[in-house]
Amino acid sequence: MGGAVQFRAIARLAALEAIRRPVFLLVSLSVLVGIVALPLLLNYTLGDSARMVRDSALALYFAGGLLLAAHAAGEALARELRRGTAAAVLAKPVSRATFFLAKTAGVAGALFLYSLAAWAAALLAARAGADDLRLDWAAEGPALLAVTLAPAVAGAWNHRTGRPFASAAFFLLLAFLLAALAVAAFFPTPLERLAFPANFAWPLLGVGLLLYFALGMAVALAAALATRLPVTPVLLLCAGLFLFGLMADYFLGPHLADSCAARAAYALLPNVQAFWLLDALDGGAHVPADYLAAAAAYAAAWAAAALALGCASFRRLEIAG
Amino acid sequence: MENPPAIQATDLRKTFRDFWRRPRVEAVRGISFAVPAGQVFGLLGPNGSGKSTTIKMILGLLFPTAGRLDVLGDAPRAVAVKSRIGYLPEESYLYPHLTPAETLAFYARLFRLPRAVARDRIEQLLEMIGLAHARNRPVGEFSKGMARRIGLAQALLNDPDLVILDEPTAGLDPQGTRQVKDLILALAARGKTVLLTSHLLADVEDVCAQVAILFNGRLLAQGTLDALLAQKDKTTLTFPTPADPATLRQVLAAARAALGADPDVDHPRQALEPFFLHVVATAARDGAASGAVPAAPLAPFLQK
Repeated sequence: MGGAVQFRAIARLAALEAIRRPVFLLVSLSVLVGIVALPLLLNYTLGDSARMVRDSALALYFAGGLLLAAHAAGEALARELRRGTAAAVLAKPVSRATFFLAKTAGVAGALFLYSLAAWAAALLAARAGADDLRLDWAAEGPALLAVTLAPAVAGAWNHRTGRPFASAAFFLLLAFLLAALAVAAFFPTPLERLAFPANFAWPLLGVGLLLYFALGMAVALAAALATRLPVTPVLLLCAGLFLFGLMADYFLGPHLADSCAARAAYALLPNVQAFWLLDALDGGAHVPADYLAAAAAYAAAWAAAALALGCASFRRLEIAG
Repeated sequence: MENPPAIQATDLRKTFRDFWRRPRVEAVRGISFAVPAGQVFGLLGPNGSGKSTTIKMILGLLFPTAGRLDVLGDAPRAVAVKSRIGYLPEESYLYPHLTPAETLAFYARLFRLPRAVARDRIEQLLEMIGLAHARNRPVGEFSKGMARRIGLAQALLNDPDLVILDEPTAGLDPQGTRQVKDLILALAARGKTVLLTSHLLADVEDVCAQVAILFNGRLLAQGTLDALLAQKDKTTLTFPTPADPATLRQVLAAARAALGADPDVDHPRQALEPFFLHVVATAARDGAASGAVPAAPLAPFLQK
């Protein structure tokens, strides 16, 4: 019970600290503006506009999320160890496992909020750009308004109260994008080709959720690495491992039958292909629930293994900061 | 029966190693000392003498290379024992975006204090450290001295049995320094054990019953201040200055005749600290402050 209180306190603070870092807002804002601007940027797509907007939006979300996952998890541990706040907390009756796992959970929580904002932006962009020749301004208008108003309102609030700009802007972005989604749902789309309920491509959320599972794995890996390495190597290693995981089928697939090393590497690498199911959305199909469950179980098992290694490493870590 | 020591170190050693596990720095070289329960104990030494390393081993943050260390009858890495320890680090390690009240609430959760108790103690501590008026400002905006006060408040939140203060008066103004010294003495009067390190030897002399002096990882001297500092072969006599100078001459002549040596004659000086505190306290009665205000007496929960 008491451990849960400590876990919540550390996780909540880790999430807030992650969101308050300017780099978190910078990456989130770039991704969200990029997603919302996609329907304006894509022209002459030969009838592929809807698919291109959807694929690009989710690719932007995943790339930004990967950067945030590695950076925020690395900062949450490596920076706190360097700055001394970790020593101050661990001088209290807090076990190292609680500290490590709560920090990781906090970063995963911050990434979930980022994911909510990105999914809302992706739904709005997919609706606005569903037609090659006409924009659905009922979706594009509120989305553009959300991503421009949020930093402006946060700036005014910061000027007035002195409270942190980065977190205010991020939370306003999330709130305004969800509000934009609700506003857009009230307006019928002028585009005849759209047929999904309330004019939104809801199946997109299934793939978004799959990608969030992959980001969860990245958070666990980054946290485990950050027990021993500074932020920059953590970022590079995470990016490298996930990139290699994305291409594992291509590189390792042909050797799986006759090479133990290839099989071991294939099993250890994060299989990002399993989470990149954008083609499954073609024709309005859904990601099946049992596939989602299997992917979640794979991600949880992989993340648990990374966290177990991280915990073991953190228990033996001497905290000199 | 005598209480067991709050901290017992026996042949304690710490060697830092490099990436290849080769010995790099021998920070602590076989020191043994005991911090008696209910006393103020000073760990002194120049920079790099091994004080902070010793403190981090006591807190279970660093692991001894060899030797034995008991803290409140338990191993330093035991999580449960840390609920009885308060620690003020050398630097004020705080989350810059949190306000003082949020910072203390966070640490109260780590100590698993019931919500009502935590709320009550946070209020009392903010009053005590003189930062109640700045409770909603992010601590990242604070001066070093103000941040130090927050650090001190978080170290006392759990009403600890053992208080470890690493350079507690660093960055504090004379009022804050006096308050910390009064606080240390009040804690000791309540039977708490205080272990402190400081470069300010006058402060140490004011509060410590015992000291240990470290240099280059070795313990050079240890004992009570009286045993270490008293000059048993000399005696100081203080009396009111006589109105008639002839009286003083008679006294000196008698002393010279009896002792066979000329006694030193001087007027005792008031210490600068009480004089400064009096001047500032008088000035502070007029006008509001933007920084730390003169602090209130000890928090009620620390007086019980």
